[in-house]
Amino acid sequence: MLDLVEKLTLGFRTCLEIVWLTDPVFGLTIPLPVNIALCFFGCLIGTLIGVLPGLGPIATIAILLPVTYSLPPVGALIMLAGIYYGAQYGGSTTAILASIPGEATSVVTVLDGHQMARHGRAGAALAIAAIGSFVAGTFATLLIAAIGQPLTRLALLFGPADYFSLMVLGLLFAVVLARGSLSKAIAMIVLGVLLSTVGNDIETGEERLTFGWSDIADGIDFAVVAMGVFGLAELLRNLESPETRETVEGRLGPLMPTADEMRRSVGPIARGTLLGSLLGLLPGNGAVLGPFASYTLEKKIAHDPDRFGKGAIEGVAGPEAANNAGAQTAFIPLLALGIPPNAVMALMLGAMTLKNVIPGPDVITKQPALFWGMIASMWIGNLMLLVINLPLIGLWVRLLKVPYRLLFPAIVLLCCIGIYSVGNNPMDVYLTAGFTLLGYALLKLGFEPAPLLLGFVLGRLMEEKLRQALAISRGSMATFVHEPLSAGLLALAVVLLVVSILPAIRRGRDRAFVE
Amino acid sequence: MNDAFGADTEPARVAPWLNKDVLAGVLLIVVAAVGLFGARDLGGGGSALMPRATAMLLAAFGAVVLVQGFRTRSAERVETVSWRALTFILAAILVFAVSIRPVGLAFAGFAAVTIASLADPSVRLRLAIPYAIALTVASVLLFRVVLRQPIPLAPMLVGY
Repeated sequence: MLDLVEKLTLGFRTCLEIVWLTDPVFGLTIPLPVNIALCFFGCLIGTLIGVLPGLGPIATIAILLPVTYSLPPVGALIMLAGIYYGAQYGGSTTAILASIPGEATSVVTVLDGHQMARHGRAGAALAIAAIGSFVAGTFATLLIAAIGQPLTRLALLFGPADYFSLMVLGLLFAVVLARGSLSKAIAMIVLGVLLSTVGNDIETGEERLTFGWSDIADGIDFAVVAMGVFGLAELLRNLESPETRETVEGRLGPLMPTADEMRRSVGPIARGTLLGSLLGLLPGNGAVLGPFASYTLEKKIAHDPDRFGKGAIEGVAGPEAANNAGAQTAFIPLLALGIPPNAVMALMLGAMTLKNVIPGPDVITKQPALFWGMIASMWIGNLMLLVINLPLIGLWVRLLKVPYRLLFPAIVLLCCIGIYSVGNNPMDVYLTAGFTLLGYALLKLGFEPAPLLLGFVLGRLMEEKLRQALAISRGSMATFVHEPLSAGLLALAVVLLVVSILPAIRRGRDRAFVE
Repeated sequence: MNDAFGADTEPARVAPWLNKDVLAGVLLIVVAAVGLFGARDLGGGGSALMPRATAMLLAAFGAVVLVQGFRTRSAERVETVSWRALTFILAAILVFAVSIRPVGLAFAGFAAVTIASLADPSVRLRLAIPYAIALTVASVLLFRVVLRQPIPLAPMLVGY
């Protein structure tokens, strides 16, 4: 316990570190708590872009990724985490005010949140969402701090073969929960891994799959893939289906929830926090389930379930808490094991890898300031959302009304400049155009692009572990089933696959019966 | 049973070249083939293992998706592509890539925004051009002045 306090203190000290900076405009040297400032800007920009039409957290992070390239690792990760929370909160804002869930996890918020908004209680709905998220975020941060380290020790027991199998399992978990065709989702993972092998070989330095093109000899830049497939291809899809926004006109209503509303929300927030934290820990995209589970629970135990769907504050408080708790605990598999459970975490992992920070056991022991600083920044980020964003709600409402025709050219420009500034190389911009085309084709053919990113981000590490394992076993593939841990993980993966295929088989049989 | 509502009638057959899953499978197989071709000269063992293995897996999944496309009775048609949006957005990115080095951000940014604007048929050039100028000025301020990125501004006019 004392150890934990000590570690968290280190984290907060990292966050509060003051750097003397020369400002670029007037040339004055001023002391600045740089990391806090980055967290602040991250939250602000994240919310700003997150509430704009058509941009969910994944696209927001993908587009803003290059901004963090020139920062030192701690600052970059703190800012990205801030962007993530901001974008999440932006998703809740659009859910409540415009009935548009920014992503799957705020789908539930639309049900009662938007109804509250239509009854003139938008202010209270947004406030309770922020308060619930803050409580949940605080709890989840402590949870990460408490169990991150023991989990990391567990990770140290893993040999290369076990690690490889764990990654296979993690990737499979991430797709079985996704919607749509399973074979298409797995194909996307495989495509991602294949793309990750482009460039110089890690051991021999041989150029692989570059077709003599020297610009990709170092591999395809992660930001290029993310921005093409998530930012720009998404933009193309938005362009052809202009969303109909049912923005709430008129008053937001008072920001402060009434005493009665507060009283009603306490229980849901507490239960949502616990549910969300647990589900977020699951490998695979467990965080998505949190808000649904919380909403169902609240409706089930309510005295008058009829109020749900008509603007019950419990239906906002619980799911929003669960949403944020899960969003936060999803960091645990990433930080402790280096395995991203969803696309957002894959983006975080990609950003870390670019900074030569490989999540997993090594980070905690070798870079404690970075690890604990990031954890402390999570809590600070949640606090920022509460103290900055609530007063700015009026601004977010106005941003919601920005027409898409003004927005998308600006996004295109931001992407172009961002990608160019990554390496000051126009070739990256050409490549981004290529990945935009690929991403658009994949969307049109019914592929979900998220698994591609997971495969791409994990691909290099998987290959490294695979080859290490084979080197140890002198080239025998049997090592993956001889190592007990690896065999267990692979068996679990097979069970998972069979279970997720079964319903399809059954449905096929049913159809055969009918005929 | 319910012919009046057409529930049991065979859905209109989708031609293979319009069938979503068939096309998806073909795309995967083509990419896999390119991967296998690219890996043909790699020294055996280590460096060739992962590219070859994933390319072959990809081809296998491509075949599965392709077969599914042919077998499903309610095959989905491929979604309509909005060529206008695709053309203008890609053109905007490519023009930016071509011109950023030689001509600089002042032009590349302006051109990219103007061309991208045309992706939306309702946008009028009369409004798009001033908007492009405004966005370019804003981006120059943000990236050159505040973030101090070494992005060429207008090498021919100002020398950097």
